Amino acid sequence: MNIILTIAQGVYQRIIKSRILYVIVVFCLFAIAYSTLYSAVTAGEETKLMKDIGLAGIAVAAMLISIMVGSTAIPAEIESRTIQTLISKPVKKHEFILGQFLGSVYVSLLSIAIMSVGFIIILAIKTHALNLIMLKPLILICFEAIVLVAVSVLFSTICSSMVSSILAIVVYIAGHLSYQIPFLVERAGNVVTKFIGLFLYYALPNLQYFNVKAPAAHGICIPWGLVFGVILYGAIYTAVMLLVSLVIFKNKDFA
Amino acid sequence: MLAVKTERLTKIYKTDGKEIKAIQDLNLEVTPNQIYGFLGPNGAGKTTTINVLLGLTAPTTGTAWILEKQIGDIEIKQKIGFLPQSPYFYESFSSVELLNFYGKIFKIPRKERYKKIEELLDMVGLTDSRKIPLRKFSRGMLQRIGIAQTLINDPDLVFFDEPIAGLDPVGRKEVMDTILNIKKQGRTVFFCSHVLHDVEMLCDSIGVLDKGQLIVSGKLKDLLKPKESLEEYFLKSIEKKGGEKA
Repeated sequence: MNIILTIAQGVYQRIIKSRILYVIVVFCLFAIAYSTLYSAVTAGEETKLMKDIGLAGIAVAAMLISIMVGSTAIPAEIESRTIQTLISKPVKKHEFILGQFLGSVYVSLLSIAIMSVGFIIILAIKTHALNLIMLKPLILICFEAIVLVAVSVLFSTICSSMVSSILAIVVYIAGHLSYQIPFLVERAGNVVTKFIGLFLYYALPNLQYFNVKAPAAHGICIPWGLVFGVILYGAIYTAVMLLVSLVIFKNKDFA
Repeated sequence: MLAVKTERLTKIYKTDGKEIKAIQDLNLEVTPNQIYGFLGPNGAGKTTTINVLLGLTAPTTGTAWILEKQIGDIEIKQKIGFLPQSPYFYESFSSVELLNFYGKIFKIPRKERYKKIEELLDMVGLTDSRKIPLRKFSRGMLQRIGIAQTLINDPDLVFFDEPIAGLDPVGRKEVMDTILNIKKQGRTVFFCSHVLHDVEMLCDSIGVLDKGQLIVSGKLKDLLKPKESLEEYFLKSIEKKGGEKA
């Protein structure tokens, strides 16, 4: 575990020194702050609109950061050949993968935490109340980010960072639409189409599970049971992605 | 005890449907406490051999032992150091951060780790540059921090892949002195190079690799005739091997 955490810390140290992360976080905080100005001219639904924009902004930034860090961590080690020095030391391949994953997750969660604190403070200033109801959608944004890091890490064991990022974005979009696949499958006449549809339904992460932004913005209470169920789903999906990554990476050469 | 032993070690790469034998039936024996020069022209298979020994790539056939343990055993890596050809390190790290990172990989306790870092920085002459990011380092400085990281775990055996290539005369002298110093500390150095003059000055034994095959191996003083330079001997060996094949 020590080695995994050391590698994770190394990933964190390297990413935190790159400016792009700050740009995304600052941009998102700026967007949230701007939304307060925008809501000022929308009579009646200011708070709802602000919550909507704030959560959506954090979700999009979280997606970008997760995919960016998850897709680049491993290819960066391979392309810069730093992996040769690391693997020549007593580091097992699964420790390498898990370290890269944990480091990327840590950076993503830290970014989300900074944006969330900013969002909650701005919201508190605006509404004169601590909107703890926002915690649940924010927690689920965190777990969606973890799933996206795992997906990106999996792609990055096979492809370059650029291709991995593109594929992860495709999975993100498809993952938010995959809940519609069963309806399409029902209507499909062809057996092959049905099979492909069902395969995609189970292979893609159902990211709509993590999307409770709209009810939260409307003040609807989301039950903790639902939150924990989604977290469990995310944990299982992440574990499967990492397992596949480990199998692929096990037979890789670094010469 | 042997520091390195290989038995019919073969590595075949497949590219565009063609098979390239990078190393072929390599039988190598390196005794400890010496500087062993692993020589050969470009593409002879020197780096591939090191990569196989370090587990960076799997052999196609054959096997090898490092410090009496079969390659693939993760325990070996506790006792070895490695400086790759044209070393690349995390550019945003400083020397201290880099050595601390690798020290943690070896699970060296914090106090001992920082003491060791200071010793190593002093040894390679980088104490004053300890906080400068590696991206600002010259090639010689990178090579020196590369050597320092190979010693963070007090290894018994150190692999250097072309450590002198591309350095200016001052940088070469510094690196060579450091390598000699490492030998004085009782470690074995497996040294890969094609800068023959420097090898002649440093190495106790050599092995010459050509087209993936070991054509000569032995103590330098036994191999060279009086007044014969390593360069002359090396060229003669390669030509002789070429002649045998023809």
